[in-house]
Amino acid sequence: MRHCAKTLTVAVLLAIGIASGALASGMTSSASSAVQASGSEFRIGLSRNQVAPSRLRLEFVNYGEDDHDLAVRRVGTSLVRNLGTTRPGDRAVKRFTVRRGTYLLWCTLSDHRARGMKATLKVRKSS
Amino acid sequence: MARKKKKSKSKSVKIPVYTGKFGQKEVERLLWRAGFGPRPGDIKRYKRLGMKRAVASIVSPKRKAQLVGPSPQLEDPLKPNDIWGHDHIWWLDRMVRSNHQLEERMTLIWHDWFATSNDGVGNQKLMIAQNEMLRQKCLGSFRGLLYNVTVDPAMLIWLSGDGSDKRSPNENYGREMMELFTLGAGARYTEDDVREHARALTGFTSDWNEDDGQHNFRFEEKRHDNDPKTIFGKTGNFGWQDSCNLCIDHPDHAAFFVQKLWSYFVPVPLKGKNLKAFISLYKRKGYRVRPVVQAILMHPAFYKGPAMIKPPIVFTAGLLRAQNAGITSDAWAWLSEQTGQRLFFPPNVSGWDDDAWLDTGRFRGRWNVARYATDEALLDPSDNKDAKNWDPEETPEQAYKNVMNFWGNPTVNGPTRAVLMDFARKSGQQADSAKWKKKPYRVMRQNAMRTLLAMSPDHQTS
Repeated sequence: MRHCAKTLTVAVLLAIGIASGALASGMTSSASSAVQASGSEFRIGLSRNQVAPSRLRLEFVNYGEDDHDLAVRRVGTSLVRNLGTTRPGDRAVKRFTVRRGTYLLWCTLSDHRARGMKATLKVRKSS
Repeated sequence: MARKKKKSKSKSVKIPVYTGKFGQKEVERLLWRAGFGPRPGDIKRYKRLGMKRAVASIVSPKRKAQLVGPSPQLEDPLKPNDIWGHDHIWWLDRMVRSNHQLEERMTLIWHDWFATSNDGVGNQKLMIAQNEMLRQKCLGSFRGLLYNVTVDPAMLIWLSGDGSDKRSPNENYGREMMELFTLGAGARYTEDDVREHARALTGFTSDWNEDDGQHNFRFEEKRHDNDPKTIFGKTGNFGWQDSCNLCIDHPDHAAFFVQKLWSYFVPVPLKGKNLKAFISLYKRKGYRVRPVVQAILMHPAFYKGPAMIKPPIVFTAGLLRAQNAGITSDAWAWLSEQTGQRLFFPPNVSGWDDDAWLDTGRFRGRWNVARYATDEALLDPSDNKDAKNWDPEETPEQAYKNVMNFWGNPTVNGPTRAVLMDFARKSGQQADSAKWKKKPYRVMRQNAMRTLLAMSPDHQTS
């Protein structure tokens, strides 16, 4: 019993004392922007529809009941970025640089785009 | 005769005021229940004021609200509209740093009362806007608050008011307005009243396009059912404001309101003469919230009654406030999910279930919160800076004193003190079992005791 108590004490000490798990306390960057895209059946809503040219943090949150993904392409280019398939309640994040222009966002799964899962993000200097 | 009757009526509506000792224990209760716990120096300051002035300063602060202390330092700059979890962090930061603590606590109460979840809204921006509205209206007229809630875009989405028109009136909002917001389940209303309210509440709509998403929430006369409706036995061409007014003026409303509001502050039911007195006060003051809250915070039952379990988010904010610490991680969003109270995501329209605050799963979340809350101040047993200067002969009593100082010397009951001292003694024996253990083990003991005190029954309740 005494041995158990000692072991327990050491275990608590070790668990609480040693496992410090440093928290991320990070730098901030003024040349960054963030947009959240909320997806559901069958819409994509953006937290803002315009940002300045910057390093963009694009987040997709699936508030729907089906799987969805989010593809992004700048009009006039062929590069398509995809944040990957997210399950209901999940989210995905991608960071990339956005330049002046218009970006199209859509869900590539099934006929979701045709049913309305699309949005437009403008990148303008004035925003 | 009539005059006599009036006199005796006014006598029966007097609300008792607490006149007992206003010491550390009472101040702690006031600051935990009307806010998010004391910051260093608060206990002394409020004790000096005395109960009435302390309550007055909390209920009607003179200066504008300010955020005091270190602002959040996160990996990404705080963007409550644009980043998952930053909505939660944004409000938690206000709970930790606002010098208008009651304002934040009342906003939390209204968030629970008019529980709207982003699970159904899917738009952090609208949730933040609703939160700002609740804060702005938190101590004013309940009638005004209900008006604002009724036309709030997040609520219009959440309870299907958006798109409800004369051809297909939606019953969700009308039903919850009576059952959860103004009258209570079992009050004197019928299914017909639900249907007629739904008709009165028709006409709200919004637009959608792929540039702006859902926007332009508005009331359109042509979508509204303009035919007469009969609600609570009264007939008229009622609209949404009439619908709100009919609920507020319903004979069951005032009792429901004061009892529900009381239950957020005092864990024993409001009944009998006290109930009548509060109903009278609420009506006399024109359905304003502030005088009712003030009377609750000065009531003897508030100070003499049993302890209440601190809601998880109150517990969390309080741990940071006690250390004058700021937010340095967005982990608080998922940690709060573990504790069962992720802001902007109440489980359903009836709000959080207080009976589940300390169930086994959520209690584990509180352990994690306590660990993270002390993380910035965590002592490193292997680091020369912390262990080097630690007293290798620190006694259990000194260890206890140090941990009490860390948390601002909160009230601790005998059994909690005994358990902590027992732990301090036993771990001290471990530390003394080898020379090299003396300092680092005592440092680890201090880290452990900080978490243990935070998790003690005394600290889970107020």
